[in-house]
Amino acid sequence: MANKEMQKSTAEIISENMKEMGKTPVYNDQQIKKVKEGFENWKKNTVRPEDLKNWEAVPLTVLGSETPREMVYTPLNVKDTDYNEQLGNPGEAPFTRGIHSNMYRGRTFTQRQLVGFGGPEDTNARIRYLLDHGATGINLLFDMPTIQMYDCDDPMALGSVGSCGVSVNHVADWEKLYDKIDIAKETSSIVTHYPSNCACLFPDYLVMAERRGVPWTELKGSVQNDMTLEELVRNASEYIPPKDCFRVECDNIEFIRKNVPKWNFITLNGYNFREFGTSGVTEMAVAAAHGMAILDEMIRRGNDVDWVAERLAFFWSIGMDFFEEAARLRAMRRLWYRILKYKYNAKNPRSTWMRCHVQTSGISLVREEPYNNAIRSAYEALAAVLGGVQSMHVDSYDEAISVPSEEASLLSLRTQQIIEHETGITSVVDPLGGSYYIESLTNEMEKLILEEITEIEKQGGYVEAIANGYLARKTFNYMYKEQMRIEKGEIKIVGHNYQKSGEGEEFESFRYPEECEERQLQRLAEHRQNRDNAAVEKALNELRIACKEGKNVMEYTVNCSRAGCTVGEKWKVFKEVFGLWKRPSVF
Amino acid sequence: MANKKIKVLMCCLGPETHNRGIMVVSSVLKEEGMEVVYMGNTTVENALKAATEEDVKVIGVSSLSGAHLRTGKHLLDTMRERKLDKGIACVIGGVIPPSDVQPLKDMGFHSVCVSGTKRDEVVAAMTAAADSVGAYHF
Repeated sequence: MANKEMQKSTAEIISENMKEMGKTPVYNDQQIKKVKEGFENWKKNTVRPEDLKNWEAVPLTVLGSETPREMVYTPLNVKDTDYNEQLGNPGEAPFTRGIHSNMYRGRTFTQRQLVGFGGPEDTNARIRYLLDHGATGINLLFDMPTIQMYDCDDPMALGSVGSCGVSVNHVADWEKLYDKIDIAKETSSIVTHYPSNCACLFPDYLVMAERRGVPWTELKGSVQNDMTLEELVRNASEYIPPKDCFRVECDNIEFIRKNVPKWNFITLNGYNFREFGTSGVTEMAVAAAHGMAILDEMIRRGNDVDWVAERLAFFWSIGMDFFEEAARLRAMRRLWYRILKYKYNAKNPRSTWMRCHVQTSGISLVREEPYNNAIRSAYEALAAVLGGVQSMHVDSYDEAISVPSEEASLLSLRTQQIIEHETGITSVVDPLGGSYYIESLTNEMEKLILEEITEIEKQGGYVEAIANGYLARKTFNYMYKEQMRIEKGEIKIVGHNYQKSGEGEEFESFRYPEECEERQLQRLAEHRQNRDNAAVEKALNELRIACKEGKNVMEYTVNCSRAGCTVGEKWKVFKEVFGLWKRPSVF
Repeated sequence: MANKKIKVLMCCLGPETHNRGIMVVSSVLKEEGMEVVYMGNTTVENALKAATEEDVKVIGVSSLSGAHLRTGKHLLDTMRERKLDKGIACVIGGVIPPSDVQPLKDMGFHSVCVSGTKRDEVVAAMTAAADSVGAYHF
């Protein structure tokens, strides 16, 4: 990619390249003319006047994009379809129909349900329960203190240890977490959320692997190493500046790419950002802009585009607008291909694949009549499968009340298994392909996402759009408007604001394990006492210097883990060296 | 006619990553004419320090990670110890199981706004809480 190309927007680059394409249209003009005549007659003679007047309807859903839909779609909506250029066969550019030629016939979507609560042994039990019941991947969620990089003995952690995720403070906790689990065999999605936390926490997993004699080159899984989460989405009392956060993110990427080659070093967000409060269009635009910022930085650091891109992955939220969810997955696959091919000149097809893990939308699930949520999640999961995703977590019916109980967790897993084994859907690749509606909506989604990418580029790119508060304001406006729409009943949610029955109030919810906080505190106290504190100080000092001198931080956080440093101790170094950032306020 | 301006402090006790609730509620309260001291994530110590310095009538706690019983108890016990409970009322909201609602009230929260509570209900809850501890600000 020549430097002068940077002046042009991504949309312009793609558009220029598309003009060179040869045309292999699906429809010919004669056919279309005949269809058009029939259609116009039908509109005049058969369609009711009120339907003609309201030809476009706007579905109003939670996290919706308010993209208008026509009453019916015909070949006229997709008359310019060029099969090879816009769709391609599955496993072939532009990958609209899927990244593999055989999709789920070859490899089904990984059934990767999130687990995390209490202490490591509590979570270990649930992980093994799900694996025993057919889960095909591990997906870990950490408690609030661990995610936000506070050790459980920090004043900020008081009362929160083990809530909403598992508490892990140092390598020994990880040993308990992975007790009787073979990390050479099982793939783990380690939801570290932030670049800072990824640098602090992932090394513990790597050091555990070392101690078990499993080479890093064999480890498979992913980390969430995402600046969108650290700087834009999360609530926190302290932030480091965006440019430093981005540096840590890229250090993590380089380190992991070099040393843990089968590991996905980021799952571009995506989910948490959308759930925070935005449409599926903005979700994808921000993730794409982020991906491009990473590629630009990696190239600046002297790396090859393909080397980085072939391991980039995405993580989406799947909401309730059924066909939009399927269509935008297809749109994003095509768009990402075009970006990697035309803007970045990627040589390896794998570099252009929009590989993704998805999670059904948590915010679409409500407190009232909790079992309704099982139905919502099932439809969302179905849309995801029709959209061709690689991996999935299905939220559980008790989402609005607590982390999932064992029973609720099992039902989520069963939802995936029923789709895979009972519906017959997975025997055909891209079953929605060719639908006039789906292809039209896919085109529309691609157009809208690209428009929003251009908006971000106008702000100066992804990092700047976060630093200057543009994305924060945009998101706040969306979530506020949506909340009001829900309260007014414009967005209907059955049982919540439509057909309220008052049922579900007696729901027996999941209980966190008792005394988890006390147990973790005791373990941490022992650990602090028994470790070589001189080695800990030395390692932290070396990390401090590395941060200041622009070295790769993960190389040093790994040494910190080896020496027995805790998550909180590493984060304190980052804060000390990078200083704190005051995030622009939205109100 | 005097302008009744209720001063409230909005916070999350501990490292709460989720902030949709606190942001939307704070915005609504501001629109309804309340003065909002927005603290975001903080410890019980810092929340009480700010609450007394700012002379608020209500502390609104947003809890979406399941720690409400423990952090709530810590907040209310500390307030009772320091005799702050007579001048400041507490309201909690968020992801709270039905069976925890009464225990939260029993421990001293004036009201509990579970997920899905509407705008008017939240405003009413905060107003009632402020009323329960005495004089308004003018």
